[in-house]
Amino acid sequence: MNSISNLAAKFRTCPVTGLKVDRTAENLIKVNAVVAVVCLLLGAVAALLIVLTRWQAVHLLPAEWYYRLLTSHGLNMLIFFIIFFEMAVLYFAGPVLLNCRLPAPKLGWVNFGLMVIGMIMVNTMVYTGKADVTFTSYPPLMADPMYYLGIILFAVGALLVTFQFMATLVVAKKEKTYEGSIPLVVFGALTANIIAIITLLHGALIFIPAFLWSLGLMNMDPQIYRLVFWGLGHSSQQINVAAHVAIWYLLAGLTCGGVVLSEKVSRAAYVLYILFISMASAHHLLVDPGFGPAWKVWNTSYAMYLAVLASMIHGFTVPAGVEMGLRLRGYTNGLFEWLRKAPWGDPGFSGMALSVVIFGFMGGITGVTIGTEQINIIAHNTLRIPGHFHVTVVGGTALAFMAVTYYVLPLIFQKRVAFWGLAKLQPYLFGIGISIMGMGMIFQGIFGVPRRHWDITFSGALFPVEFHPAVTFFQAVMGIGGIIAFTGALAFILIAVVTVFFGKTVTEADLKSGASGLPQGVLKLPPQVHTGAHVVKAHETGARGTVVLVGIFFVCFVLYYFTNWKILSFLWKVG
Amino acid sequence: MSTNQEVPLGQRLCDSPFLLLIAGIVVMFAFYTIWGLIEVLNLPQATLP
Repeated sequence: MNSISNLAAKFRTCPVTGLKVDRTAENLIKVNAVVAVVCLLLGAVAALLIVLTRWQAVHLLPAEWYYRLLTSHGLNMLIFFIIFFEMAVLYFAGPVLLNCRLPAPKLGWVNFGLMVIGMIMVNTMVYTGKADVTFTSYPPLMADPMYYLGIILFAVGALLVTFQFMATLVVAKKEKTYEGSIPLVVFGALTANIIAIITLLHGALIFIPAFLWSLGLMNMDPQIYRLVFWGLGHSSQQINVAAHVAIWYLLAGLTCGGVVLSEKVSRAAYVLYILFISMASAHHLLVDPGFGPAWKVWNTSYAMYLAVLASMIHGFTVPAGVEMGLRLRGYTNGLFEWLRKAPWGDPGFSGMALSVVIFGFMGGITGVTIGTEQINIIAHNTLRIPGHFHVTVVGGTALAFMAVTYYVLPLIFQKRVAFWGLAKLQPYLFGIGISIMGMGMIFQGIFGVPRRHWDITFSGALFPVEFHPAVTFFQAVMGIGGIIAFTGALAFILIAVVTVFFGKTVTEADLKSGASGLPQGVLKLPPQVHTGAHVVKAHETGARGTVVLVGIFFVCFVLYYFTNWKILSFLWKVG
Repeated sequence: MSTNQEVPLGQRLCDSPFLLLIAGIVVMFAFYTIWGLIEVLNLPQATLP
């Protein structure tokens, strides 16, 4: 009897999904998600102040505080917010989706403690002015040893969580909590987990020596630092890609009954990520003289394009899965009835859809183009680079994380989402804002505006530097987009915080009556009908609408790619 | 015939998380990290003007 009551205390059964939920895993999801939102707030406030400084018409901060906040923004957004949230994703995709216990639950708390201590140490060093080294901390810029130690502690904690996830897979298989292969969403999380291990190993390989260097115990070769650092710095963003693609598949299913067109194709695309996506780190070294063309071209083109292929596969299969899911529910008329009738008022769906579009159309196209060695010479270290990664990491990953939060709140925190009307608007506000800001940055970069720089008028410089007058316009575009995106981020934080700490608990009556604050995937997802005329029609027509959308994507891709070759030809005019 | 043999090879590979982990680590370290280190370490010393 005791063992049965112990087991009951260890698990709860979700009234919506019927899944058996390990309570420790659930608590770890909650605390990781809460700390992620705190880091998001720190990063977002810094973001607003940075964009209002880079906008020369405003030029808010003095140089010292600009670079300090740039360091804080990069670390809190690219590392802390994202990785804390990814830890929550791993605890969800492991014990919860596999319906099993969390192995070594106490270790989960130790890991979380290490990560929090690391995060606090790093932020303390940054805000006390002991680490004005920006996100990259390139030598010879040196921070206080506690800064490097903080990053090491954070990375060790995260690495241990990735091992815990691998152990969860072993436990679930041994205890037969699932049949056949692991579900596709869990396979996506496994992909993110493997990329995280590759990333964190590089982090250990460079930040342990950097720590010793800061103590004066060894020398540091800047070129080797750059090589190994980017194995961490860029690959950490590839964890995001794998994680947010897994979230796309999850939300496609949860929000509108999206189907997986081909398990084989989607899994093969994930394997391509595992093998090749981390090599994109070499993009940062394309103008470094220390590496030969073979190394550069292999890592950024031949091998990397296999990972690009994988992204394009997911970029087709996710919307096509949504289309087929909706066609199987009867929306079979024309090319786009399914798109018009999709649940655009569900923030889980709208956030996912905007994430796919922004990541694919803006992030993907710009990334592949500027990652080409020849074209990189006109884009490297310009504002085009942050423009690119803001639409991939923020418009793609952060927006997908926000979208899934609207399902995590009722399913894991068991709370009705507060400010439901605002929640419906929030993904649009954030997605549109970040797209406008990204476009403003990308166009400034095309006109040669440098990244990172505090003052692009270069006042006091020996030689006058002038940019095309259009830059002034695109600065305003960037600034206005940034303010809209910040408002969207703030709305998300407000909704999440109020829901978690003051939200109403979800009751069975709420589920039956369709109370406000519960997305439609939680309330009343219509069952899929596998018989009838519309099902035959859906199978006959296939995902034609998505094929048209993908056609538009390729036209945009070709136009942007070859326009850049044209711009390059102006720069390197022959004759 | 065992059930294991009925599962296609590709699926069996995808069902081996540790194999995927090793493959991911080997490819990245071989082509990016180690090859890159070899390139940097073999750079000739710059001659001073």
